[in-house]
Amino acid sequence: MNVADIDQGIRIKSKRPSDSNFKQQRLPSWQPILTAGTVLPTFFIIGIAFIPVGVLLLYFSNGVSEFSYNYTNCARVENQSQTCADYLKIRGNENAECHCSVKFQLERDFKGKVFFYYGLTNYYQNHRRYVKSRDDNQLLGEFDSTTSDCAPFQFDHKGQPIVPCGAIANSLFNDTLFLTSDSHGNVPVSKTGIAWPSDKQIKFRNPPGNLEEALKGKGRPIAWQKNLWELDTNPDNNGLQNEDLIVWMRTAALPSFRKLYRRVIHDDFAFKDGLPRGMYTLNITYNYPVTQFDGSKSFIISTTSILGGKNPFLGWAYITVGSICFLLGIVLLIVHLKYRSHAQSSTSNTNQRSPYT
Amino acid sequence: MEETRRKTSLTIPSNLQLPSSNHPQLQRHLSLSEAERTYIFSTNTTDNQAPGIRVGSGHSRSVSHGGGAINAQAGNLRPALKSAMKGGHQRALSQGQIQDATPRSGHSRVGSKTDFILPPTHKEADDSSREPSTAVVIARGHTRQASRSESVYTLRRQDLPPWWKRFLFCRSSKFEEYGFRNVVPNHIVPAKTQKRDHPNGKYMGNKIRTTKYTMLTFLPKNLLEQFHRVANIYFVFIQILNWVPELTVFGKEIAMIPLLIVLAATALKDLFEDRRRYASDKRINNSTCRVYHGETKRYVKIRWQDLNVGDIVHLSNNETVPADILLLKSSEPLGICYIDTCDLDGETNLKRRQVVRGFNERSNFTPSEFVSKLEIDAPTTKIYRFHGAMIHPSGERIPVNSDNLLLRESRLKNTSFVEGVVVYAGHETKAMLNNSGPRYKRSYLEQKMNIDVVWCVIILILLCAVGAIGCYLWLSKFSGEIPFLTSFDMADPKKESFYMFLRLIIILQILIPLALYVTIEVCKLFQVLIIHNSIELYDPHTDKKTECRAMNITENLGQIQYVFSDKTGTLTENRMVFRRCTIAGVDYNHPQSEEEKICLPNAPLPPVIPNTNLQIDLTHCDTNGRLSLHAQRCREFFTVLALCNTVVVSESPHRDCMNASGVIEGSEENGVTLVKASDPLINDITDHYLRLSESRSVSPSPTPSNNSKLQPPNSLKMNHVPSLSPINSSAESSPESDSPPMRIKALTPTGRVKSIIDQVSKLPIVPSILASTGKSVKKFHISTKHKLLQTSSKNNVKAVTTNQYEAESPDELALVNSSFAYNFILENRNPNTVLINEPNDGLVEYEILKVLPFDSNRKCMSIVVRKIGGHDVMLYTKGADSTILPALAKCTNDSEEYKLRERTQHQLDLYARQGLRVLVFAKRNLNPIEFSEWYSQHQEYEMSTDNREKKIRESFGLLERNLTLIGATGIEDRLQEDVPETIDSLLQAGIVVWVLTGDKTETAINIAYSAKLFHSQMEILKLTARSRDAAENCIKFYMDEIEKQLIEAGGNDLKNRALVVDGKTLTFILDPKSNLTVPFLELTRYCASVLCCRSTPLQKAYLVKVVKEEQKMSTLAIGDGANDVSMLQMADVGIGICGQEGMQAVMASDFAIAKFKILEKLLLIHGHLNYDRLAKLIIYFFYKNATFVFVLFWFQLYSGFSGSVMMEQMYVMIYNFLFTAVPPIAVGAFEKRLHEDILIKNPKLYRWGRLGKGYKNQFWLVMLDSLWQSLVIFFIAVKAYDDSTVGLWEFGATIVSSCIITMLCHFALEVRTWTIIHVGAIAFSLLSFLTFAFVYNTYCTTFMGLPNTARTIQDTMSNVVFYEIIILTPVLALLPRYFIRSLKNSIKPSDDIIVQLESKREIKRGEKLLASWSARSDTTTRSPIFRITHNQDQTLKTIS
Repeated sequence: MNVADIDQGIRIKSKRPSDSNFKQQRLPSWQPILTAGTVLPTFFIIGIAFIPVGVLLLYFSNGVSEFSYNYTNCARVENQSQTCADYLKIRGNENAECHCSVKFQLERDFKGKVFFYYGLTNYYQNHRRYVKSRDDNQLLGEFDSTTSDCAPFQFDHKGQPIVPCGAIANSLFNDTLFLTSDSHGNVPVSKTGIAWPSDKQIKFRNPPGNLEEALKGKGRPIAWQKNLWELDTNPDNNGLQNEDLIVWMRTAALPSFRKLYRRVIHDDFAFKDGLPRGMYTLNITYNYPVTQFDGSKSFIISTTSILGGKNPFLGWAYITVGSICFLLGIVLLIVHLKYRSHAQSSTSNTNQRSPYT
Repeated sequence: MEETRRKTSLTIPSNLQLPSSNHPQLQRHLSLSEAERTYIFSTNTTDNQAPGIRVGSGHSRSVSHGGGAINAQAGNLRPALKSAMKGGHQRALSQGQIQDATPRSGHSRVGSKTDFILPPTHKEADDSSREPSTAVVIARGHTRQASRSESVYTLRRQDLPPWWKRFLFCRSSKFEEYGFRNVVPNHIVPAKTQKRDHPNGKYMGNKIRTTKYTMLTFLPKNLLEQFHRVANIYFVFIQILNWVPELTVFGKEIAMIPLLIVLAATALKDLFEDRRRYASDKRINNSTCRVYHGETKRYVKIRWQDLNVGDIVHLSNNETVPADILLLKSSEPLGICYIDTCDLDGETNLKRRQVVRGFNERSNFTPSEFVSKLEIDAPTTKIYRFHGAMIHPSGERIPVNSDNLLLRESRLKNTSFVEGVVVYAGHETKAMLNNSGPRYKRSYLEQKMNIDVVWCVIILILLCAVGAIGCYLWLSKFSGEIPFLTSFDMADPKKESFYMFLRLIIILQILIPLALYVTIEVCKLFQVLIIHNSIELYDPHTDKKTECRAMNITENLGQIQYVFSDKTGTLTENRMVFRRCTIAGVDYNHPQSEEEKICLPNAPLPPVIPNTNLQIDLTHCDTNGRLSLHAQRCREFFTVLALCNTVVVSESPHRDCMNASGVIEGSEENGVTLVKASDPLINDITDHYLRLSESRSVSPSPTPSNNSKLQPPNSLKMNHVPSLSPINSSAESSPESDSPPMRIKALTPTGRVKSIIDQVSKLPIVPSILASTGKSVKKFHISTKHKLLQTSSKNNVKAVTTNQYEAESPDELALVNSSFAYNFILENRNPNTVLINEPNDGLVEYEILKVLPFDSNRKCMSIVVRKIGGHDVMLYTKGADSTILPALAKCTNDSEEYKLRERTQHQLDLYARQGLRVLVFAKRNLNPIEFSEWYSQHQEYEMSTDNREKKIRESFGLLERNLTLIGATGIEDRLQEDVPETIDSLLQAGIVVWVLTGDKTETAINIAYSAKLFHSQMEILKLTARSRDAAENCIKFYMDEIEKQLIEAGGNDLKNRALVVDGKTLTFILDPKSNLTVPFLELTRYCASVLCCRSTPLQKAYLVKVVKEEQKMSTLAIGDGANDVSMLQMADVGIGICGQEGMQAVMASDFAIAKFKILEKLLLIHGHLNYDRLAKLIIYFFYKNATFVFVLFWFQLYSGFSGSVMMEQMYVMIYNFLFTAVPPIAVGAFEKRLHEDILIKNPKLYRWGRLGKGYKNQFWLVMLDSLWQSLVIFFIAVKAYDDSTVGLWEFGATIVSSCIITMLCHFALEVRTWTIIHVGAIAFSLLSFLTFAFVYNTYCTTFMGLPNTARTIQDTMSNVVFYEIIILTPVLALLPRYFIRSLKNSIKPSDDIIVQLESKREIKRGEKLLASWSARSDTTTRSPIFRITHNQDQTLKTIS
């Protein structure tokens, strides 16, 4: 090892850094400057683009027909002076059935596909503990799965594990809503096709074989009046794959929400184009208590547009934002015209030799 | 230097005590005992005194011309500094550095190298007596207490290692305890001895490991280290919270992802750094060296790591010393060798080392016969402290000391080969013990950021409190059975709200931007790499890149308010050119030659062209044919120039006959060279050596021709003749060439003492051999063209030069060079003699009786010599005029002598006005008897323990008086290239530039003018006071004047002022008792530049400190020499210039640059950009985290304050680490606020960073913006999904999407210079989010107990509302920022926008011109437009 040799090697190799564009920070670059002049077009473009979009959204939103009926305090069929809500509050009536019958008129035809929703307000499905209170593995048919997240709805009073466990399943919406047209008879509805296909296919699965067998030794949710296998007669819509359950289990994001309840079957002649206007009777089997948390229940009939349901907010928001942009664009235009020569003149070079300024 | 003195101490006493010892036997005995005694003495010297000398010599340049001594009052500075220096700033204690007060008294001695200003009385009297105990204390405490020379640049860890380390490594401290170790040569131990039976077995091997970790310890050790960070502890705290069942918000495992990512990223970074250390260790460990192998009885090649204590090592010239080696044999006469300790302590001067006493006399040293044992100190960190004894089998004990020790990492120079025994290896070597880690300086920006992080904590607590209260109120509304509430929640709203508080801390944890710290580190790494790789910061002349030694303060470069600059070597080239001299009142000029004008800044300077008048005067004869008086004076002047210095002449090439594998080439016997090369009288042996060297093939130089055998002994002297051409040199140079006189002197120390005694006793008899050799050598010198080698450029030229001067200061080189030009040639210098080739007289040898080394108090150095063959003992002195002139012998006012002095003084003033450095030369004829008396007295002083330095100085003073003036020199130090431009730029940038120099006031002012620090319109205020009151009055006077002017000008300070203050005045000003510091600083506020002359290193540092702390300004210090070290370490940013004065400054610096002019680009471009990048990065980070957190918080209002999170947990966890990780890095590393050209053309833009505008108030603005944006993001989604069937996770996915898109748009608005990197960063963020979302929602449906969120993103994106939201949100969120930004840029644009617009306009104009020109290009070929367009074109290219 001769040090002199190394010395020579070093001598040949210059330490000069490589002259690549990247290393020298000389990549092709673009330096936009945000001034009134340069940003003007953006504001106008946004304004011009957003206002029509907003109008379009409004148009579609207005095209959606929607009827909503708040039946929270509907009167009992048996006793018109008593609301079902009050009736259920009476001790011992917790699991009793209460029926309501409500008449209302649809002012105009509901064209296109018609959906029934139930809407709840002040209902915190997004509450931390509520959201957690489920067992996704159980919902996939693994009934042996158990998780403490479900507590206190993990075991029933017999100590049997509850299937499906947890607060969400326990608080399954169990009102029955049935609409009859005064002129055309019962509105035919489908109980299926209301859940997200992804939910039904991926997140919920019944165990193979007889459901009742499989559920032996398991408890049913405390608040339920039916067993899991009794939710529907249709085997494809029963048990964990019952779409009402699936819809309910998809926790809502906000405290006032609606959930798809039924979709109208448009095979029938009378309901071929949707829901004709006229008088309707809503028959309610009122089970679900909401008054103790100041909640409300609504029955909603709605059509859809290609842009979703009825929500004028986005339309108005787009129009507003577009208008604001347009206005600001005008302000900028004025500023631009006024100060265009400003920058050129203001480059006075003050040679202030002090660190304090 | 110290060696010189030591040697002298060996010889002189006997020399002068001659009358008492006539009997040869007695004489011999005496001299021996004398030597013995001196030996002990010299040990003391080395320990206690040598560093003082080192300081004096090592930095003689920097301090030489007025390293103004502060008087005793300056001593008061120290306590003040101590008290002021609080906090974790550990600094090296030495070299006049400002130091922490150490309670242990012993420390102050070690670190008390404050000789620059402090009188020796300051030191504690019993220092040395406490020494050993200090050592023990230090060693036990693991303190990196190193010797002063080394501590110039290292920061020692004075703190105790963490307890766990102490606990873990308590056993390893055994070697650090004070004690002795015994070393036996390994070859006398049977080869198969087990390690534990081996006498040397318990000592460390030579394998080194500087890595922090090993494979096994990496994980635990790194984790432990990381958890020293508060931020990480906080994160762990959050994790623990999350594991409490009541609080669990996130999946327990998932919640650890962020922490794991942070830890992993940091660990990865550490690993990367450690890998580099590992690679370098490996390289070092695998270097090879030759070790004596006991069985084969020859040297064999082994790797460094296999080297052990007790091995005998053979080293060739230029080889690096593999371990600490005790020198046993040297190829050179007198058993000396030279080492270059540049890598060790940064000092570039060669140091002499000597073989252990006794070994030189033995003509046949063979390793196999070396059986002596060694008893030496246990390893310590003290580089220049080494004691021990060699115990021969006969029981004789021979002391060894640091003069015999070759330190690891030093390099063998000017010596063909040496052999020695390893005494410390591996980590026990002094070099390794002194290895200390990098230093940390505070970053201003990060400090500010930390304050804002605290604000973040406060905001976090506020949010959590609001959440908790909300929770309580919300829960108290309910009673009875609530489907979405369980009985747990209902039970106790108070308890639940407390949980809610903690839960919210977990949820909103990312408001404390933990990833920010990692990101900043990554970005700084990039910034450092950019600086390293920048061509603009690279100097082709020296082939040096700018080096960032401190990784964490790149952005401080953009905030500098004060620049403190050294002058010599920093502003100037530190290439001293002999310009003028005055001899006996006659001035001789040496104007700049043509050759010199075109000379490149780093090329060696052409030789001085002699002044013809002076040449004539030199040989002027009076009527008798004898030299005239003036001619004699001139001759004496040049002799003194050549004599009175410490320049070493070194010869090359040196060749070793042993090849790298340990085989002696060309030699019949495959054994060891048995020859004492230093004995020149044995011709055969010389021949032998020559023969050996002929066939040496490993040598990089051409093999010498076969010539030696038949040559007469005299012809050997030819080899001494230096030649430039490598071919010439190889033809006749023998590896063992040495000057003949040297050979004659090459006796054993005892013998040498004897011979001197002989000479003194028989004075008239000049050894004939001297005369004859002298003549013969002279002939060859006519053709000699020596190459003056500047220390820094030696690496390139060394191989070809055959003769070179090596000096500690460039001044001395210039002087020797000039005397050379007049044919007064310094031929050789060894500790005892100087050989000078004088015209007409031929070689003249001077015996050095005593060297009075330079120190900054005396500001002079002297040498006491006796011409061989002459009677006279002469003292020659050179030094600052302020020292020498008062020391001249008294003379009457009308005498010739007086007039001469008047004239000289006049000329000196002239020199100073020209900016020349002035040195005055004087002599004194000493009476030998008096001198011997003085000498013995002085020796007593040197051995005394109390007040030693003071006594020595006084004793020096006794000698340096009654001087006779010989002459004076003016040396020019040229300004470095582009210095005026750079200073002008800095001043324009609003940076206050202070130049701190040790030079004379006049010289300094002149330089200041030429460097454009001062200009003609400036009012120069001079502050020179000789008392405290005078200083006060002076300051007051100037302040009043300024106030008057201010009033006249109506409050606008239009006048440019510059302040000049001298070192003496500074002493009063900086004295804390005087209370003048504040008025002084007040005064400086009105001055654009300040010049401090005659300032000492400690004053420099103190000035920096005062400005930094009193004015709260960020400071930058730049310097190149050891005298700048303390200043560099004190400043917020220390910049070292790789200059002529070694590496100390560079080692102590945070950035090392090649030239002063690089500072301009470093500050104005890189500093500015880095500051902007980091400021933007931090602000952006706060923004994105705050926005996200606010959004999460708003959801609490809609989820019953339950601590619910709408987003999938994985999003929350990796939002910071994947989705939004890259844009901040793109900003922090690659953003360019303005184009470099614009920045450099408009220095005033620097103001922006200087005043910290990039970050000022931005935190709250950005918090406000975040608030708005979060409201927009959240409530648009809420309203859009109002009363709909939207699920929780879809809602969350929408919000995450609009968050990310808004964040990216915000980023896009902030980017000032778009490159592919920025586009890539945005693309990466979006793609990573989408990819992650799709993959996660498709494949990881039941993942670690997280809620099943299969198909969420698909479902979300199948809804048109999603798109409506994510388009509307960013537009509305960024509308205010976008609008206000544009409005401000139009109505009241900031400087940078103005400049940027201007340059754009210019480019546009250029394009138009280009177009118009190209349209007419067929008619005009060389119109003025062409030039303009051409220029524009260039700008265009660079900007686009």
